[in-house]
Amino acid sequence: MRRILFALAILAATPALADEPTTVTIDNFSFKPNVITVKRGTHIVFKNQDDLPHSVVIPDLQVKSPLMDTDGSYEADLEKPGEFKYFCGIHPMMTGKIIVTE
Amino acid sequence: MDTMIGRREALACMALGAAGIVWIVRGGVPHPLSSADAATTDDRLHFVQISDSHIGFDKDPNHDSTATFQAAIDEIKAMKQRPAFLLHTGDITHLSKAEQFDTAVQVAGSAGLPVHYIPGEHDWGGDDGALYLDRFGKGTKGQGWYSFDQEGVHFIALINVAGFKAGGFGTLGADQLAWLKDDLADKAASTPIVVMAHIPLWTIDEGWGWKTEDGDQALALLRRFGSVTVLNGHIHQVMQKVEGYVAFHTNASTAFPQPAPGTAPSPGPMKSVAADRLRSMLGITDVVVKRGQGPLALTNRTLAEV
Repeated sequence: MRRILFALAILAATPALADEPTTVTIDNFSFKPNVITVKRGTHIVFKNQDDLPHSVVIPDLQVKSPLMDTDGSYEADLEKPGEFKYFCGIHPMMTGKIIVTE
Repeated sequence: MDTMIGRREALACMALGAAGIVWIVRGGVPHPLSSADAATTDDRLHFVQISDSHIGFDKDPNHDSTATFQAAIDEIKAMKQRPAFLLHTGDITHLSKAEQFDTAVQVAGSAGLPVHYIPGEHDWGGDDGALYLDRFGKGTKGQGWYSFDQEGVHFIALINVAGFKAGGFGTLGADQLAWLKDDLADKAASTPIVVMAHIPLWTIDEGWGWKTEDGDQALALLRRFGSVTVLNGHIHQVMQKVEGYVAFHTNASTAFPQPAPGTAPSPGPMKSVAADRLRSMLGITDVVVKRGQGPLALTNRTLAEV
């Protein structure tokens, strides 16, 4: 039993597998989680659950989403390793970071 | 910006808006406007500020933002003294969509008056202003800024919703500030100036992004003028402040109210406003320029007064 629990703990701490979508939720004018670590090739989904539109701009990846209305989403594939800061294109005080590992 | 305000001789006055508040600014001091000051045929100029129509917004507390925008236009059409024109201080649309721009222009056009527009971030952020500029950019400079004169008053339309950077605020940018300096160069200090920009040029709440990071540079260029009125939108509520000869005013929305700073976790719509209260929290601003060197009179009218 102890061995199984240990294995689960390791799994929980591992970055998302490349073929699993990873979700960042937008609510109350913030990105959650605010900082996320994923493997190269991860498919990331930004879901807007806030009451106003938002967008996602990742300057170093030349990503600029359209405005997402409430319940809208935007998806991107993260193919380049590195640390990438991003922000909402219409509320620039909303920021986050994606760390893409090999 | 805060530093500049601290240096100046000023009487600052901020008022949270309510139905029918009427202000007149004399010598930098705001006074309640008496009925004798209301718009008359002797006025030098009479115009109306509308803002944040958010055409396309259809959630609590307002499921029909087109209807409330039309109500605002109907209130203007019913005015005894017909305004010369309308100023729309941005967030014309909710999502920068072509059909939302079309609806807004159609409704605003039903007033039968010229309308001068500037964009809000909702008009710009979907496509870097492409659709906005396609409709409203003709004859403008740079990214859409412009000025014009009417009845001796100089109007300046600034854009502070382009060029956002991570962690930043509203931005005018070096090019627009250089243009502003040139635009003002030949104006006498006695010329009444009206500036419009979507995001407030004065700092209201940094955490909510209610600030223009280089707004102080624009205000420094305006310092030599004896009468400056700054008309903003963005925060969906009426606030006023007077600094020296500069009167700052933010307008109510015609779509939905937003909370006062510090009273909610985020600046989202006030969803729980009851239907029978909504129109008392939406509105327009009636602006009258009296003849001579008199001050501008600003009257906030709610849509419940129609």
